[in-house]
Amino acid sequence: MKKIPTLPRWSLPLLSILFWVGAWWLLAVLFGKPLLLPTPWSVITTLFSLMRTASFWQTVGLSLMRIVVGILLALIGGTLLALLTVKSSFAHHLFSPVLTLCKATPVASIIFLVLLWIGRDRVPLFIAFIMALPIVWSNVREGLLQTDKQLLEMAALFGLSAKDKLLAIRIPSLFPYFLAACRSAIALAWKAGIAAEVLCAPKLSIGRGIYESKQYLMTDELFAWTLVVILISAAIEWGALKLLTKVQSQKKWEVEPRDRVA
Amino acid sequence: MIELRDITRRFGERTVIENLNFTFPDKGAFALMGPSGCGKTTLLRLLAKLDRPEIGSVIHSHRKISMAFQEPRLLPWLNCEDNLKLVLSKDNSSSENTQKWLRLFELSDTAKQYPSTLSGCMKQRLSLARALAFGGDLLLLDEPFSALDQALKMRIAPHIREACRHALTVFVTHDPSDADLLGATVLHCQGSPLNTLSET
Repeated sequence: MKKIPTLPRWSLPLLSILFWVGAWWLLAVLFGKPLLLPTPWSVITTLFSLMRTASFWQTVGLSLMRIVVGILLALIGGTLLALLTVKSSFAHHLFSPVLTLCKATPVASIIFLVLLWIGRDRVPLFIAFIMALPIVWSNVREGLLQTDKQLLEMAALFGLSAKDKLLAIRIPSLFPYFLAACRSAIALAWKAGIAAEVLCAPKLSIGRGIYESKQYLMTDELFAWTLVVILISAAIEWGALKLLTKVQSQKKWEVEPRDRVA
Repeated sequence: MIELRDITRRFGERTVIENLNFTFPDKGAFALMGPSGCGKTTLLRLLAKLDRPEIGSVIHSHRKISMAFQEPRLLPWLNCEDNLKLVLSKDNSSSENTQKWLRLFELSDTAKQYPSTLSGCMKQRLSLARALAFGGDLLLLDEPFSALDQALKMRIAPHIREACRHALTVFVTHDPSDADLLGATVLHCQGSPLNTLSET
């Protein structure tokens, strides 16, 4: 029987993207209304013409800065809150409703409310922070609670210093949970931050670009800005996870919790 | 010296140790023997100060306690050498010293290996090496030979016996020959719940 040739593994995602771009192209041609659905080619050319302007890079840089700062603050704040709520059950009971509130409240409600309090320029940063905070908090808290008690007992018996316990047991145990938190928080915070920019339209922001292109029915520009958002999101997530997983594998911290006790 | 004064330890409804009195001297080796679930490990944990009795007291004159647990409790992200170094003081954590302990427990070839790549026997030897390298004046061993074959046991035992000369050593075993091997006094755990340690 003749063997069917198989495609190399790396080509599959590329083929998948080509298929969907092809489908989009076909649909745009059949539809024939570029104002409603531009072709991929017109989106790409619009994107390249945007990229040739200085304001594009300023816009991207500022949006990126606002949201990345929000995510970093959430990583710090969420970790501190997790430490506090693990140490003190009073703090846990005090802050738990805030966690539930953050998770359940529609992001649009928070955006409009915060817009009244802190002004449009700071809203995206705050929204990225408030969206990522509960994810980091709950993941890190879970990681702290799941730290192997037997290893901690061993450390106590052998009189390990607080620094050694932190470096040799706490951080390696926590790392997989922290990584999972980053994975979820970055994508969500980025999307919510851009949504905040769309609704608040601060100067020099991707969201404002999306908002204005929608206002003036420049659909190809709307698609181009959306493409920018998708590409940056993928780049941040890829970069951050690459960095963290490199640290994890170098330090041999990738062991699953169930395998922890040898 | 360790003095157990009328100690009682319960886990929920179940009483494991009840009104137990015993005095261990400063030095010497003692083998705790008795049926499974009679409270040997609980007693060892009380001696290690990892647990407290509900009633009674454990009076200790020992300052530095070392223990090899029933499970090896090794850090999976540290190699054998680093698992050993972790518990050693700065003065004792030299490469020569860790190599010496690894050699004594026939683990020299695995110094850079991680626990996930070791057999159960190797993990137990590393756990024993860690306890002995740490030193201390009270050495507690929970079933130290359970994963070792007879030949290895015979080769490892002298190192433990040497440690017994400098510290009070209490270990749990099911095999009377282990007590002979380490020159230990056998303490039979009697009663249910455990209330007497009788010497033979």
